[in-house]
Amino acid sequence: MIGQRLYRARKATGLSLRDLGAQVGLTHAAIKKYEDEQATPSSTTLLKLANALNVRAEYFFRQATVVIDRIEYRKRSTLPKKRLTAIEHEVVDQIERRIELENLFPSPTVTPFAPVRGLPERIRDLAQIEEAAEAVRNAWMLGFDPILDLVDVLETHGIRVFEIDAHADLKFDGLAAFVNQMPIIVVGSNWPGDRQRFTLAHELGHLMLGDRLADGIKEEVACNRFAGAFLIPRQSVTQELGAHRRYIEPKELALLKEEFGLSMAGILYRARDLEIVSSAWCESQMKLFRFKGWHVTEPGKPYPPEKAHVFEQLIFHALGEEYIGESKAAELMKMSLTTFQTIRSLESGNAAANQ
Amino acid sequence: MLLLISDANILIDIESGGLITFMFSLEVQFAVPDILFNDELKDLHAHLLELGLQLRQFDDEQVQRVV
Repeated sequence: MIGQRLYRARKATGLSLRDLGAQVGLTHAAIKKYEDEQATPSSTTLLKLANALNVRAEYFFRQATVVIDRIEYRKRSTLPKKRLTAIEHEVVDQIERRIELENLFPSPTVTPFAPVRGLPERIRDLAQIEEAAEAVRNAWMLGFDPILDLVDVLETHGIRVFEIDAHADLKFDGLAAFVNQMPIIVVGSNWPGDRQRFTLAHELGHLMLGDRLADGIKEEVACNRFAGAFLIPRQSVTQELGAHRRYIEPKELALLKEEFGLSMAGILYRARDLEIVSSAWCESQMKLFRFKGWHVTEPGKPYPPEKAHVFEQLIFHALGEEYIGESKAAELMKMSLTTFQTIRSLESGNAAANQ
Repeated sequence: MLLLISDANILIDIESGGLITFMFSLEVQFAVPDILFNDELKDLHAHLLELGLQLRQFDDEQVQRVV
């Protein structure tokens, strides 16, 4: 067990056997033996390994209640293999702890994911994606209103959402995958809320549209359209903006962004896709956005970030009902008991989980 | 006498009860596993080492038994 976990943690950091050996004062052959479980490290060696691999020693002893061999990506990522392995490691670590926690509940905590009825069988042009987004909204009883807590909506319908800190990687927005047949969405925790929401909705698009797109429709383009349509459906766009416009003030876009949590640029594209404004005008506005640097950071107050809060809530739920004790709770949250107790007592300034 | 403490809470509670210096003045040696110290005590209770807390390691066979 230790060997397999050691191997995984090493792969996640991108260290070779030799690199790791050098860091802890052992030969590459010794590390290999540990990984192959032909030898077991002493506790002192384990601590050095944990240190070098940036995991807690507890990680090596964790009983895997679910076996996760690999993540099935919906799409091939453009990220370098090494970064992808590291992200995968972190996601698997979070899923393991999440599933372990869920299994400690006497009854299921998550509604299983079910396909949405009313989705078009085959999507032959992008305009049909409007219907698809409305079908999902309809099945989930969301009406046409802004979605205030997108993570909550996804979790309620059996899609587990995980956040990872991808500061080191500006290329990583998110990914959708299946783990043991469960759909999951991973989103970078470092982005502003509107970008995270677009990513979440985009990845939802992959889960919903994946196998329904006709040849010739690019999945990424389709998922972008889905994301916009899911966050602000066409009825709402028309109601807010009107059927035809010659000009939309940036301030009006900013106000809509505040209401619907879709970026100003995203709303602009919605207006173009729904033929409220002309493509030429939209393009000229995008030039202005680039000129002002708004394509990197939009003006005004950033939209508040989404938070994957379910895990932490489940921890305190389980604790309250005595399905777990404090030590288990601390272990699942990857923190020391003392830190956990501070968080539990509500006396720390920042109760961010060390997920 | 050597006493091995396997639960960090014991030390933390005795400390918050203000009894830690008394405890270490006893004719007893106190030790914790190095892994426990590292995960639970190092950050906020490292001074226990100065008071006389000892660290003990598990050799490979003992680690194997835990697994």
